Formats: sequence, structure tokens, C-alpha cells
Amino acid sequence: MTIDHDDDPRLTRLLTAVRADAEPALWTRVRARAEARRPVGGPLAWIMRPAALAASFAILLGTAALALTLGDTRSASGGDEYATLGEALVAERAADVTPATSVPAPARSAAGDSGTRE
Amino acid sequence: MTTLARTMLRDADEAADVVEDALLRMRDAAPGFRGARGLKTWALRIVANRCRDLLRRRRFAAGRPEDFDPIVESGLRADPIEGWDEAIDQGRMLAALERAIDRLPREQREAVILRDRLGLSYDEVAETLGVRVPAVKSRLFRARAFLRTELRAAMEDHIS
Repeated sequence: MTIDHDDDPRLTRLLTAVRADAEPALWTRVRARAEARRPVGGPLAWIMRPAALAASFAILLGTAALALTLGDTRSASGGDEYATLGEALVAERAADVTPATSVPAPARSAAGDSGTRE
Repeated sequence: MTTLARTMLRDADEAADVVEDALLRMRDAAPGFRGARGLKTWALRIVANRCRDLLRRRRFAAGRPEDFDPIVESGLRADPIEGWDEAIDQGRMLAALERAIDRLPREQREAVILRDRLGLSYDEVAETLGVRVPAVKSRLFRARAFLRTELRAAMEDHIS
């Protein structure tokens, strides 16, 4: 296949006759955008990196999962559940008081009550 | 860069955005630029790739209106052609040619613009488009055959 650039001079002249003028405002706009996108330095730049964002997100998820796991374990081992703090305190108080107020069963050999008839 | 973007996109505003983006990308990538490829072909390659993205997105856009002037709407300028036959309306011929360029497949259109409009060598066109020189020649051959046919038809219409 042989191709001659000037195989059709009229076509070539028409093609080369059309072009775009240079746009002076273009450079101003590009310079302004370049200034606006000036890179941020230091830790802020690191934080904005996609890898850093992904790592932060992974840490967040890990922490949330750990918190949920710990919460479940605690509620499972907690035993009694009380709706309010008041109920919990009353129950705890009752647990403390009960052994002291309980009356031991009288021994068979013990003396009977004076009011009873033998 | 502007000529390529405007001819590819037929929209002066979109073309300006593409050139701006390309210049900013070049600025960002400049530290890594090794010069293995020519600066010109590198810049044009960025523009061509961006135009391809936009054209792909625009695939289902509405067609052009009947009175669409491809040169004016693109923000392009037509220079007077020296030795042009005054009997033939140059503006009309140029508009017909631009419409024919728009009907070319994208690969052929890129090759024609880079080679015939911007005057790049075959090697530079190949480098810009990321293809081999024979592929460029083949695209140009088919594109020119189509454009010649379209131009002839436009001239016959003009004369009759």
C-alpha cells in the first residue's frame, strides 16, 4: 500500500486550512488552577492519601467490631439483668441482707418454746 | 492541542477544558517525564485520550442540528487557501469536509487530524496514538479515500 501525502493536493490544502487560534486566557486559567491545587505538605498530605484513608477506615471497623464483641461478652457473663440502677441496688442489698435475717432451723435436741405444751 | 481537541469534540468549551486538564496533568507528571517520547506527542496523546473518554460518554447524545456549522461551532478558524479556484465556495467545501471528518471512525479521524491538520510525521502520529506506523498509514489511506469521495460529492452538488 503506497500512500502519498499529496495524493490529493486540494484535500490536503483544505485540511491544513483549518486550525484553532491560540487562546491567551487559557494560560491564565491553567496557572490559577495550578495555584489552587498547590500540594498540601506534612501529615495532612499523608492523611489525604487513599492508603491512609483505607487504613483509618480499617482501624475504625476493627475498633467497632471489638467494642461489639466486648459488649456481648459482658452481657452474657453478667447473669441478672436489671432495667434500672435502682433495681440493681435493691437486688444487691437484698442479697447482702438475706443471710443475716434467715432463721436457722431449730435443732431437734433444743429446748422447746416456753409457750408450748409438751 | 486546541486544534486536535476542537476538531475531535466540536465544542470549544469542552475542548478548552480538555486542554486545561492536559496542561495540568503534564505539569503534575513533568517530574517523571523522561523525554523518551517527544514532548509534542506526549501532550497530544494526553489530549487524544481525554477526548476519547468524552466521546465515549457522549455516545448517546442527541445529533447535530441541521444548520450546524462544524467550523464555527468548534471554535476553529479557516485560513484563505492560496490559489483556490474562486468558482468554488471555499467555506462550503471546508464545512463539507469537516462534516465528513466527523463521520470518520474515531481512529481514522485522529490519524487525519494529527497527520494532515497538525503536520505530524508518521512516526509521531504512531507514537501519539500508541500504534505502529503501518496501522497509521492504513488508517490514513482509508480516511483519505472516504474524504475524497465526500469532497467530490460536495463539489458536484455545488456545481449542479
